[in-house]
Amino acid sequence: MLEALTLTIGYAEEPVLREVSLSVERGRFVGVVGPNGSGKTTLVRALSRVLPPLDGRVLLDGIDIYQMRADAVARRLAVVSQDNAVYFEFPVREVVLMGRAPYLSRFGIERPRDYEIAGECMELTHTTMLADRPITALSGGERQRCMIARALAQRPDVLLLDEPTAHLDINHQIEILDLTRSLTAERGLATVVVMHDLNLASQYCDHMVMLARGRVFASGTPAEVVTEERIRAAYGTDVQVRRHPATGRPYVTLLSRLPIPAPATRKTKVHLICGAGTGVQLMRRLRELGFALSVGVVNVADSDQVEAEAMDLQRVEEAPFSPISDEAHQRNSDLARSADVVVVTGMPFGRGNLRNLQAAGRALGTGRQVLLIDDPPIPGRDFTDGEAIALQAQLVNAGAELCGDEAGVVARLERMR
Amino acid sequence: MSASSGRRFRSVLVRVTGVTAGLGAVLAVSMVLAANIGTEPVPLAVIVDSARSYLAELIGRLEGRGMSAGMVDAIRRYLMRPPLTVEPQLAYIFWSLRLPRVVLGSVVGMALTVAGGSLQGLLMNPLADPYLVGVSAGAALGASAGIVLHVSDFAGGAGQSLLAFASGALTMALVLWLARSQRRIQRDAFILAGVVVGSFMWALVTLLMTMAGRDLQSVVFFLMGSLHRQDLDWGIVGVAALMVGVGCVWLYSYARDLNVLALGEEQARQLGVETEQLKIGVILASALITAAAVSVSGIIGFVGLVMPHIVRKLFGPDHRVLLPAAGLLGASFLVWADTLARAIGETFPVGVLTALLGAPFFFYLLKTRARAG
Repeated sequence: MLEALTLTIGYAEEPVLREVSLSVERGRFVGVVGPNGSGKTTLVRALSRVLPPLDGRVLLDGIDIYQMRADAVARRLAVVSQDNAVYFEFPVREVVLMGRAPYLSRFGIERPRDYEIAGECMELTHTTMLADRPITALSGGERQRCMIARALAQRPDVLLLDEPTAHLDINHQIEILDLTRSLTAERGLATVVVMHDLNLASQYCDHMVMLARGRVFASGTPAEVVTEERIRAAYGTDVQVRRHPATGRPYVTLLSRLPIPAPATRKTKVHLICGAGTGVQLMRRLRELGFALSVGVVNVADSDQVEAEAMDLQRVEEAPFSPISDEAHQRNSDLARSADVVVVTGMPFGRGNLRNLQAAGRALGTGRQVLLIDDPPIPGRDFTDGEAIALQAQLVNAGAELCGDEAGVVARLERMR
Repeated sequence: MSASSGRRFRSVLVRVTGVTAGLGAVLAVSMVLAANIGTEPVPLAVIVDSARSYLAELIGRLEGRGMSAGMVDAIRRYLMRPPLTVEPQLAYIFWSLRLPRVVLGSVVGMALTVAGGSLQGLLMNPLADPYLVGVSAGAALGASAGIVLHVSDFAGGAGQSLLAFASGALTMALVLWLARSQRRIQRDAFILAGVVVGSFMWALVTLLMTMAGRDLQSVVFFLMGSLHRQDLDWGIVGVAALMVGVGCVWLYSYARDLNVLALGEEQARQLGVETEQLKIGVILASALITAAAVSVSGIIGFVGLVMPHIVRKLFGPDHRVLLPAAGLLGASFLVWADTLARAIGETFPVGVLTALLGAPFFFYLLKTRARAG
């Protein structure tokens, strides 16, 4: 239906996007995602015959849209843009009726058939009761629905939506995406939606295109596109991607880079033994959940230490890149013994920090519960010729629990009373 | 369902017809009444009877050209009964002195209002009017030059108007050229270029005035905006009416495109409107009628700015209804404003009156709009 062939698009000969190809068939709901400035809107402009590409072609059923008349394109391809401001106070029904403009000759006027179509599109988008209101007096969500009605009144085969849910409340976001998604299926539309929200995109789209660094950075099913690595590379931020329990689609959790100033609301006191940045996410998660937290032994300037300091946690520190001293080991053991649970992250072990495992052992000896995160498994992070492997095995024998990953630890801790 | 939703829409044809018929009747009545007002009132009977006799004369000319003598005779007899009240002097005052001026007033009022309404729609700027975009200044320069150079001495009454029109059109071309970049007319640049070129033209007009000598008074009088002219005849009125008529129809052909443009320029293109053609067409057509109006009447301000706002308040923003309504209402308005000016003095410039009335009214619109929003 709609095909973009190796598009290079830009302004004043300066490409924003290079080598973009995509293809949308009837009944397909394709999402375009990407960080701000990645060229999402630019792509929509090129696909809708308003920004001629510097190179490449846009084909509508095999015909280059830039070779077609504007009204001929408008009869087959409708756009709902981000900017839906209307300059004059047109009543809603007049705005929806403008969707019939591409079907009218210069002095032509709307016929009953046009009113019928416009009325039907208003029913579909639940805007019938707004018919007489001036479009300028509507809320953002109402106006967006009117613009979708207007686009549908064009009776298009292809629907391009540029961030249709921007500035909308979550209920309206769902409403609009449900609507466009079901119309796509029922009417066999080929729909391209630019979306900001990775989670909404992942939930709704059959196929996703991620734009970044001026090109198509990833393309495929949501599971293929929405991954931690891709998002880190494209957006430059750390996120957690899980499977949504109900839909099985990837689900993105944002991780703040700022400390979360949540007060300890639980009685369970956790001592977290970590290092080399392995504890940052767990620290945040546990604080979020209200656990009282202490941290040891972290080297100054290590990201674990930075995080613990930012959160103002009780902690044992060691000089940068230095092995754990006797004094630090002693304090670490004391903090571990004073906690209810000791958690050891899946950090790499060398001779300098092997004492972290010994501190956990001391706590185990005084009846504390010890949880070991074996992720990645210990053989891959033992740089002590097997000593760390042996120590971990000893701990497990003495009653320490092995957890597969951080989520397992969190779940385990949450079950504790 | 479809039947009920169909009823929510009112055919634009019905609305246009209604508005045009209503406001057309207002204009017709205004014109007759206004032409009747003056130091020498002309009884309605004289008007009707002179029209009858003129018609009868016209019919007489048709004899032998597709009409039998018998038919002509029958129609003439019908037209001549009841007997005519013949008052040739009063008839002359009405048909040849007052009515041309009244018709010219309506033509100028229509031109300014339609041009203002179209430009406001095109530029999406409530301040747009024919004078903002430089054409009028250009036309004023041409007309002033015509006065100073005494073109009417060798080219007759039309010379000055022609020069005004040409100069207005050239100014528009200059503004368009300035506003064009990347193969597009940038609307903001267009307004800016219009204002700057307009100021430049006004400076030239002022320069011309310093050199005008004995003609200074004529130039000043022209610039004040007046429908009074010594040489006014049906020829001048006819040419102005023709140009304004053509321009108005031309502009009306863009009415629906202007509606769609309110969604935004890019959105309009996505709805099949060729926006560059639209911009050039609206600008040229409004330049045509503005130049035509200025060349015959000088600078009559505020009509083109204020009237479209009033009409939009009364009839809504749909340009298919707005443009004819604005044209007819603007015509009626200027007819009455000029009647008031004539009542003050035969040569009192109506431009002074429209500015005096228009500006406070615009303040009122601004304030009430702010309160509503």
